[in-house]
Amino acid sequence: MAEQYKIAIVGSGPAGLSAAAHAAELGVSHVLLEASEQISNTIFRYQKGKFVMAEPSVLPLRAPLEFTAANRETVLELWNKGIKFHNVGIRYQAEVTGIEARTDGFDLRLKNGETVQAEAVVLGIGLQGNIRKLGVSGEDLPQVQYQLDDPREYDGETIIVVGAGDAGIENAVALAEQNTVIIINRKDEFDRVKEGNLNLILQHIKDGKIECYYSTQVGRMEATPDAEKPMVAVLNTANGEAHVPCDRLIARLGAIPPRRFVEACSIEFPNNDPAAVPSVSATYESNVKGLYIVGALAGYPLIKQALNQGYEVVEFILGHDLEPADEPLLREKFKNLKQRPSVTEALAMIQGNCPLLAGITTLQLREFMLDSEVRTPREGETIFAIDDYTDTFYTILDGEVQVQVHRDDHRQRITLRRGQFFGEMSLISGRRRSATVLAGPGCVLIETPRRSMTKLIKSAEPVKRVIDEVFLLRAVQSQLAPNTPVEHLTELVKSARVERFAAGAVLFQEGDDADCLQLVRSGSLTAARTLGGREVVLSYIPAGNYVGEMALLGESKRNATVRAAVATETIRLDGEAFKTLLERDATLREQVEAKYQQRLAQNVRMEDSPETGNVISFLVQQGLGEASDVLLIDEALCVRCNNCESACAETHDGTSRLNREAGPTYASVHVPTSCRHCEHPHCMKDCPPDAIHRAGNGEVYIADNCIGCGNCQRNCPYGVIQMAAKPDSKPGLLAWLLFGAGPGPGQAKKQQGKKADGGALQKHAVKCDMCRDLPGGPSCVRACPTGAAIRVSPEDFMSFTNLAG
Amino acid sequence: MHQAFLVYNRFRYLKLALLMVIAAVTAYVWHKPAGLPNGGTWLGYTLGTVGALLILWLMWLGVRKRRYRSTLGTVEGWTSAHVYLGLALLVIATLHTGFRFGLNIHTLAYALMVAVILSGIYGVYAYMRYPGLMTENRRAKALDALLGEIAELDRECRDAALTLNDEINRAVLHSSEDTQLGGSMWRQLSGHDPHCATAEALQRVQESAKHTPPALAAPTRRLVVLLNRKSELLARARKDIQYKAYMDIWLYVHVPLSFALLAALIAHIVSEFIYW
Amino acid sequence: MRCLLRQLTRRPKGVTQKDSDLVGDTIRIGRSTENELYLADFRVALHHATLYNRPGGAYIESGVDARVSVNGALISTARIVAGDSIWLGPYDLKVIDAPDGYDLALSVELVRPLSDDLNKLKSRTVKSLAATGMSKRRWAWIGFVAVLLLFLVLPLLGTWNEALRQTLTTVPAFSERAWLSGDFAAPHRFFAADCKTCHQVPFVRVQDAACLNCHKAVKAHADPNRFHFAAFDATRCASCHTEHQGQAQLVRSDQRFCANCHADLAQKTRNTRLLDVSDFGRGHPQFRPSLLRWREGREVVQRVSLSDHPQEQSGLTFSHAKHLDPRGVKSPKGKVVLDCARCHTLDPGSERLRPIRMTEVCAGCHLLNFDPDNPRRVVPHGDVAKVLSSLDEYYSALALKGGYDKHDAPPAVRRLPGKPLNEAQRQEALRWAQQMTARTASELIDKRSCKVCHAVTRTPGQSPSWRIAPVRLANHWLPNARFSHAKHANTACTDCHAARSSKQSSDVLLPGIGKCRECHGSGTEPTRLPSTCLTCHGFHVGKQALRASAMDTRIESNVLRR
Repeated sequence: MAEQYKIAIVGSGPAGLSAAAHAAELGVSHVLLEASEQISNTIFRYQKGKFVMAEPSVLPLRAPLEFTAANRETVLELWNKGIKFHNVGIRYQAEVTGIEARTDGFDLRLKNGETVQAEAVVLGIGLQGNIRKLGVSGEDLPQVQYQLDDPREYDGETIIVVGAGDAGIENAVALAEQNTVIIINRKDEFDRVKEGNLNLILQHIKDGKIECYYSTQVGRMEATPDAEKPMVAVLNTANGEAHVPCDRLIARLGAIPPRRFVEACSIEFPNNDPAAVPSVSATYESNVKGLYIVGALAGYPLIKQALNQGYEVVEFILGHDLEPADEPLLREKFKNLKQRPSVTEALAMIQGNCPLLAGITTLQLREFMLDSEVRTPREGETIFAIDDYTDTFYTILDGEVQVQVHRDDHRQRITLRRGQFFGEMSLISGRRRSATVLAGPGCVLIETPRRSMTKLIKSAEPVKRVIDEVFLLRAVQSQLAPNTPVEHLTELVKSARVERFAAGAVLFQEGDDADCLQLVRSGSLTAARTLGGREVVLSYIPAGNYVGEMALLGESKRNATVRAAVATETIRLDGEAFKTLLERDATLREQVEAKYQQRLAQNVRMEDSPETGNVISFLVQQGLGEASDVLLIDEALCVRCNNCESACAETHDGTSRLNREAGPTYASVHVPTSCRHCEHPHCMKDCPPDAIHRAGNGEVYIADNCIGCGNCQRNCPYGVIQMAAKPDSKPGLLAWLLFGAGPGPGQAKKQQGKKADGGALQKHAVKCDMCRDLPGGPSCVRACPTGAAIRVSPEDFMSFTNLAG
Repeated sequence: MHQAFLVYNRFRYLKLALLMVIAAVTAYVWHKPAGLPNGGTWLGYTLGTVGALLILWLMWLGVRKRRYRSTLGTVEGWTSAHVYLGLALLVIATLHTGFRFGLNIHTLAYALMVAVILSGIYGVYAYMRYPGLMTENRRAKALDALLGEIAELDRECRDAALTLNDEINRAVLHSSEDTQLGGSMWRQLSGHDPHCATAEALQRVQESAKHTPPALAAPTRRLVVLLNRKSELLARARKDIQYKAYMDIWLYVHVPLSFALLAALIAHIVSEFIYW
Repeated sequence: MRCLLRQLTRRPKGVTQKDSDLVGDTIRIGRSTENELYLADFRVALHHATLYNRPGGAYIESGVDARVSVNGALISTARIVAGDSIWLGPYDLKVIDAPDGYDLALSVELVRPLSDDLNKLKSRTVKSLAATGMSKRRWAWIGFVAVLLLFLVLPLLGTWNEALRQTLTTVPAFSERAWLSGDFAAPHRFFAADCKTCHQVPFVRVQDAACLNCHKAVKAHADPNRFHFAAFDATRCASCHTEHQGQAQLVRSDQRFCANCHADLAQKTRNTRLLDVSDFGRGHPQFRPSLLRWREGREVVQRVSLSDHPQEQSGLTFSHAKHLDPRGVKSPKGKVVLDCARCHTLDPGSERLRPIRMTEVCAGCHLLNFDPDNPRRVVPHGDVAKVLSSLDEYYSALALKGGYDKHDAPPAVRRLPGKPLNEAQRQEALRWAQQMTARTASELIDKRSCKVCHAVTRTPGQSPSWRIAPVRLANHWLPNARFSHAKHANTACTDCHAARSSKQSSDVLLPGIGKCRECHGSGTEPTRLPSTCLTCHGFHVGKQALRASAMDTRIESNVLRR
């Protein structure tokens, strides 16, 4: 007979824990089901001494568990104490394999076959998912493990590492120091791994430090108690079975994303975006009645939020009506609205006024508003100016705004009214503002940071659709035909569709028939032409420009091959529709014609100096295609004094954000390892506290609320983000100059990852912020004695590259 | 947008320097002192003051260059000014002497100043010339990358030699254990190592290669190729170090002499006025 | 033989071992794979050593030119027993107790593994000069301190500590000598050793007092009370007399120096009689010789410009022309031809000419005798009274002696010498003597001698009734200027002085400035000898010492009286 509980909580992450703890506090019958042997497995798997932050600091903590920023050990210890204190009913190694709704509650089936019944289920399983196991007999032998805390623990053993991913390789290499290591690769090569790891593992295999079985899978594991090795791995290799006696097997096979499991519980996801999370109500209830979702799975990656939700969800389940923790914060947001509404009224008003936000759940809206700002600019106030590098998104809650579409002609204006939105251009293309927007009478705006907006777009399909449509129209309008009446464009826009290209993919080949015009939505392109057998890059086309008009106008075949420099999104406009538009619109024709002439001229120039083209293609290969501002060094001038690095270190807490020596060189153009401030910063993708922002001049910087999780470091394909701790302060410059006191400029004492008291050093992600806090601009450039270091934006490549000649 | 420090701001500081020089020379020509021209006339004192201030300012570059938060112009601008005003100083100070030299602290100060400026002129030359050569020589490889390759070759050499006779092995060992890069100042400047272990090894291997049994010919040849490649890389690494040394060495003259000059300057001024 | 091989691998945590058997009649150890014990390390020889069994134990034999040492001793062959340790390349083989069935048991351990090449190479690489340990800072300090110490601190200490100063002067480089900016002027060399002689107070310019210690006699330039020039207040000795510039500069001689004030002295000060001078070549007035005049009973000096044809009023009658007559001039010894040098001789040790004295120069020809019978007898030159008395004395003696046989002489004078006179005869004789005296005197003064050169006036009834006009002759016409006849000796006097044509003694035979300018100029004219004020004039020409109260600008001192 299955046990009966009021609340069953699945997953002992922060959310689950606090829910359970609160339930225990209130004496509600409950059970906390944890798949692993210990609480908060995800946090438990952080590396030793990792510092856990308590963001967002503004949010009050209302969970029954203590939580302060500290290293992982302390935090876990606090919580373990907590659950003992409240004596929480927790069951370890109780993995839930399925949840079925009954009329009066749920059946939770456990791995070991048991069933637990509960009236309400709180799902707090996070996004990490369950570790993928070997899935063969013997997968649970004591010497079979699925993680590795400290490679130095093992010594003189024969260890089999399964899994050719980064994790697997890193473990294998680390273990090889003092063990005999065998790595098992399912495929016949190592793909989808970091460049560095690839070289590392291949080198080790070459040196015979690691033995590798390619295209091999583990057949089964057998314990061999009487042999000298405790167990033997039976491997299915390309040429038959192999028996490998070993002391230990470490499987790093990644995790099974929880989605399938969640959907199996008949919970719906808004779309197929892998990053999407199920939408939940204001009381964290999913579309399945009585099944609540909290924590990361509900879209709240931060520990503090999760802890609060744990508390709240229990309250909600018990039917208590409870002011959400963020209520006071929201109230603060709305305080400068003139009709002084309550939070609920305000939210209602927002959904009433803005069709864009009408469709989303209150919880999403709250979250959305928590990040957003309500602004009431005076009439005529500039909200953002053309070429600003801001990327926030604006929704017009009330009143209207004036959009100056024309760069020079300020009288030309489009009026946007209540319920409409703007700023989506920069949001999507990641480029400068394409127009100046002025506040109109009675204007009330919701300004939303990029991250929250993209999060919303991911999780709410309708929002995405609307924005895309509008973007399309406006893109065509602003990039192509600013002063063509909208009704003329409709046909063209109807023909338009978004196309995505991987880096290097061809949009059209030289000699193709011209049937379309491509408007770069995001990313960038290069146009090249084959001259004497080799390709010469003719031009670089950043986002917001169009390409392909030449052939259309010239009624000829494509005269150049256009490739995506980086992952690129374009808007494909039908050629015929475009031509008809041109016939209709003389001025537009003139403009396009002018551009056409200009292109011709440039092409000729470039064909004369292929060297320049080569430099461009080199730069593009370096991924500068997606850069908005990149540090280049003219090696013909660089005297290798490293003053740039010193400058960077000295102006940024002792850690240089750039590495002059590293990085590729072509002709005399050197691309040091330093941030390029990508149009779509990879580092921004997954930042729990949303600490990474893009400032007005385009610089991407990490704010102080960084929790040091290292996601950005992992996400940056250019390896320009490092985790660093503040160094000890050092004596003044003159003291060093005259007496050599302390470390010199740029040579901060290397931190040993430990504080004086031996505690873990609090590390933060650091990267180039273009010295935004310095009046003079980037110190690396200003510190270069010979003028070798310069910063350029892709538009400047042309003017810059002539130094390559 | 992007220009070398000599061209900085369309030669702004070259112009300034020329202006100063012309002014000084005209004044000197126009000036008819009571006695022979000397530092004691009003013009002498003026030129002297200007010179002394210039010296202090020029030396301040060492500080400014490391004051990374300073918004007082860019370091490139300072360098540009440093170069041109430094040259102007040569003229101004010479006029200050009134071409009267002797065996005394005053002439010592002057001599030191000239030495400093000359070393500086070499510095400008080095900064103009060697970066390009360095880039060329590196073939888009960082020095560490070169070292990596060399170390890699060491390993390959040893593997190749494993089957060969002991003499060759000793040679290879010698090459991988005792090959040095850079070293003393002279080593670095000379850009090559007269007793390069690898060169010696290569020679010895080629010697004994002559009478290796045909069975071992192949690995021996391979070894020779590897060693050749290694010494080629070594040469490049040494050149790299040499160029860097060329670009650095002058500072070891320039800076200390500047401070000697500063001392001499103080002595010069104090002695001038203590016995006024 | 059968050998147990125990391969040891040391780990941070304990040692792991792997046992295996080696079988063969001998066991070869080496790098190549055909060895029974095969040690894949290139520091091991292909065939490094051989183990074999003999009755009595196991032996090890070193391979050809391989190095095997047992218990630290290089061996070629050695018996090995449990406990021995064999060094073989990077390996350490220990002989351990062989279990049953084994002839020998060895533990093998790689004790000297190769460390990672890259790091070793890096550790052997010295990439930069900085890495060689060269330090700009060190050298900068050395240079700075050395220079400061040797050339400033030591000499400074010397100025306080005499003994130290003395010792330092033995190394001129590091003494005050090092501060010396130039050569001393010759006259100052003798005290040059001690800077303090002049530089008495540190950081204070050399004070005049220091100079005046020696130069006591230096005179002022002008009377500070009458001529107050602001310029002079600031002026120090050193303003003009700059030392340490060699001889050349000790005295200023440049034109501006004087012209600054004298170009327009009138504007600079009232009550000056000096005319403006800008430079000699163009801006210098005509010479104004100082002439002596007699005004209401006293002598005054009057400066008359040569261009105003000044007249000397010397009271003499003299014609240079006559005396320089090439045909000769009458003299007691007949006609003689004279030249300037006959009368004008250089005053030894001075630039001037010696003043003309009648008795020295003229008397040679102009004899003052009066008695043809006794031509050697002359009257003294100078005082009329003396002349008369000497005549009177002469003739009285003749009369009283007697024997003077002139027919017109009275008998008493003509009587036989030695015959006594009665009173009447005496009276008669003396009367005659008086007549003779009177006659001869008028003859001498009015006709033969005095009158020739001097202006003579006679007022009867007055005794003596003759007056000879006093000689008023400026001994130096241009007392404020220096002119060295010696320097100009190689030009004939008459080139400058128009003596041959001068008949009057009133002529001022001084050449005009034009004459000088034929050779001397202000320096701007290429063909002229550059001459500044100080070529002829002095600066410290005042009367009283540099800081005297009153001053008389008259140049009386330059007048010679007779």
